[in-house]
Amino acid sequence: MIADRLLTNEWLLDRNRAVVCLFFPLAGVVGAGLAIRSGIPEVIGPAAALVMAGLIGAAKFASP
Amino acid sequence: MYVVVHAVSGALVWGAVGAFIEPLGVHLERWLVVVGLVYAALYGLSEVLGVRIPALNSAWQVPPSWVRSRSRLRDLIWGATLGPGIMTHNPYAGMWFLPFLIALQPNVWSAFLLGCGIGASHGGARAATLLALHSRGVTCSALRMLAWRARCRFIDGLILLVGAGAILGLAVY
Repeated sequence: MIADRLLTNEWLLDRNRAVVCLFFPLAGVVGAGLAIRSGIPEVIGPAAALVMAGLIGAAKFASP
Repeated sequence: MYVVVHAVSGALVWGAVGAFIEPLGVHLERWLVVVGLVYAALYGLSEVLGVRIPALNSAWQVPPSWVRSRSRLRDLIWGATLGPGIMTHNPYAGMWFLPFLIALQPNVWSAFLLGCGIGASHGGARAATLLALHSRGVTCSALRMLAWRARCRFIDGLILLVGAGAILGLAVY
């Protein structure tokens, strides 16, 4: 059922969405590489978690 | 007061979650990395593409009888129940990605502190946003809410995709 929905989903057929789905994980890989090169990989996870928690909390104004 | 109660209750609950789940990371670090990567990629794609996948969620809501009391007690009840963001309905898959990041901390204290920070950040931002919207007199119709939620879920999906890429990058490098 999920496969059917994937194949018929209009978002998936949109080329921009496909580019987005490739670009953002790639940005994460590059970001991780840069973090390791700068010697701060252990700071990235906690910092990202704090920002993400704040964004999710702020976005909850739209939840019932 | 309203923001502080949300932030403190969030910090307490998430701090406890952090201290409780960190030992899992010691024994199951490799598995946690794999599960975190699969979770972030799967739910990130589902939110970006708009494909619904069943997710861990709660249908519980604060009973109206609990918040009919005096304003200070009402703030306390709202803060204690909504601050952590775990007990009530949660439309964003990114919320359940946070425990993976906590479990990968090197020791119990850092997991506890990160949990406290996550809870305070979530609860504080949630309460502050509501107060800011209220003070500006912004009211949202159900339809407008739906559009906002879809937009926020899309952004949450993008963040999860970046997270999946970052986990993959850290594992490979």
